Amino acid sequence: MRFSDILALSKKEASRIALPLLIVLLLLAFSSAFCCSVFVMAVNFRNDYYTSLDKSHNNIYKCSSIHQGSYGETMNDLSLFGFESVNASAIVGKKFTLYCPDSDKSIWYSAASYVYFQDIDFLLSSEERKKALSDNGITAEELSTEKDSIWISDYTAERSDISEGDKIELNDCGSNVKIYYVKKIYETGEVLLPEYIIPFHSASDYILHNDIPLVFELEAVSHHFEDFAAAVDRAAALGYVMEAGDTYLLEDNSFLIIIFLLWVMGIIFATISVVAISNIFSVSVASRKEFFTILYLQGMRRRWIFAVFFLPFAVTTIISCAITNLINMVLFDKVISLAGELLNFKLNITLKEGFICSVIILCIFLLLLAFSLLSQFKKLSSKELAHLANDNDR
Amino acid sequence: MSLVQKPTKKYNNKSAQLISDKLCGEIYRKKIKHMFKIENISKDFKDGSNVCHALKNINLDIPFGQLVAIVGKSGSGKSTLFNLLGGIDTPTEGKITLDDISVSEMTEEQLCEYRSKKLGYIFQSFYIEGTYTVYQNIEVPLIISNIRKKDRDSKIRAIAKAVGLEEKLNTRCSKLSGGEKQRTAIARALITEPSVILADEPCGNLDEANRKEIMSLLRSCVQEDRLVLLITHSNEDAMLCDRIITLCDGSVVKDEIL
Repeated sequence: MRFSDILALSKKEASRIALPLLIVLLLLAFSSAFCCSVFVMAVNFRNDYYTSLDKSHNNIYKCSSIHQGSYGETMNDLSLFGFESVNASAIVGKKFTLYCPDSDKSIWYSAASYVYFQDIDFLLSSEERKKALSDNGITAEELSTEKDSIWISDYTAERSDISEGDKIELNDCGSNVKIYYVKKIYETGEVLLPEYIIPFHSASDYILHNDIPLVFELEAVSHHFEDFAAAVDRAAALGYVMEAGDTYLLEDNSFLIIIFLLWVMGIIFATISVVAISNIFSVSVASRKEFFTILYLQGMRRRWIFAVFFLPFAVTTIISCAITNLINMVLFDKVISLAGELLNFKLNITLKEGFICSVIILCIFLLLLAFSLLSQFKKLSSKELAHLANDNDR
Repeated sequence: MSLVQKPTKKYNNKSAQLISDKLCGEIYRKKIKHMFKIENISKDFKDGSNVCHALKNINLDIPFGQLVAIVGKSGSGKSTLFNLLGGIDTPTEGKITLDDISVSEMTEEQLCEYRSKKLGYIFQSFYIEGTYTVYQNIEVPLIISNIRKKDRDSKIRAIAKAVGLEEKLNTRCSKLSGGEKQRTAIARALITEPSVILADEPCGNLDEANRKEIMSLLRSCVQEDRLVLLITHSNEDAMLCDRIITLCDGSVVKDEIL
């Protein structure tokens, strides 16, 4: 039997079953497009959710502790315990920056100093913290007062006028004036700094660079809810006593619930569409049982009969999947923008997942079609064929 | 002349075998080359623990060049025998040979070839594709037999003319009358010039006028090297045949030459 004849018979078969195939096409296109949209949306929700976690740690588990020791070592230690970052949000050691000995030029200053100054009174108000500072060789009384802070702050505003050899006067607790001379100007970013101003962007940079043992308030962060308890336990074993932290995961669980619901919906719709379409395949194929018998009794081999029926179905299914992808492109935009509005969540959608979904669905449908055909062909065994051939005659 | 003859005496299996032997003698005398030979054929159908003996130890020699009727009541085993002869079903025991080639031992591929080249089927319910035209229905066996497209047309038109359907070639079969549908089925069965025409109740759904036409057509199909085997429960149709084989409860009870 020639392939052209098989194609000719397939063409006739395709024209005969045009209506059910059209229904299949539309069902396939819309159901798979919807399923793909839902699925892709769910996937992107999840992807974007984790992306957001990577970009910002604000909504992750946090815990804080006041710790004494090397800042760098602490950060390294804690990172080993499951905390993905450790921030010294309020370094107690910053108070050293206001210590101005008479003999040398160890005064330094950072861009964060203004904020830092606001913390000084708070820190000094705590006897416990004063003691912690003194334990590290720092005399609380040597720390500057609010007046010094203001003075320094004012000075900061004028620092761009400083040049080498300039004399700087610093009030010591409002009564004594201490004099320093600028030896050299360093350029760090947009700010010109005198030699005695350490060219670091922040106090923590300076501390980290010099590995100065300090008392600082740390904030440890973990992305993973389930890791937190274990991490805290391990940290505690090394003396990092972590206070109860804040968590925003409960807030974000709403996204997880939405993703879960979308998955469930996607599975339900996919199941319904697969069942409906396979039913159409099955009914269409079963309705051609008599024609199978005719062809078989005329001596046509099963593989040819299979080809005659499989080809038009398969081609239509493939075309419908292509149309599905086109519909997907439109639906993705609509569904996702709507989801974005409703959920206030921006999604970075690509069509890659949709295409993969379409191909998977296509394969499933083709397998179902082949299964439907083969199950009908089983009836073309000699025993069943005898019943089939005489079915209408009995 | 009445088509219904007076009832002949009832034969048992042994006498049927004697008639079969007698026929064979005539066959060889006439030097008829082609013949269906049915040897000790039995067919059982199992339904759970129950076994239905559809055919019991049938022995027949059916030479070509005849219109042979197989008659019997419903459930007598006519259709089962039809299926066995047509290679649609396989016997539980025994052997069917066509020109010394065992049909019952053929492989799937050989059976396809056998059905394609040797057999033509005609059914009571026509089994023609309603969405196809008469032309397309008749063309199907030619396609399967790998006949070139340019050779098909002349054959189809010739056979359509022979069965009186030359005007209906482009008509969809769903729009045909019962008689026309059956003629289409006959044309389709004859188009590959098979050796055996198997007709299972071909007039069952037809009125009197069409019945006569179809029987006339089947009669005209008989040639020296062609056998037309007619399954029927109609005595009138059977009386138009050359030989009547009567089945009852799966056994041949009568085998007569008219």
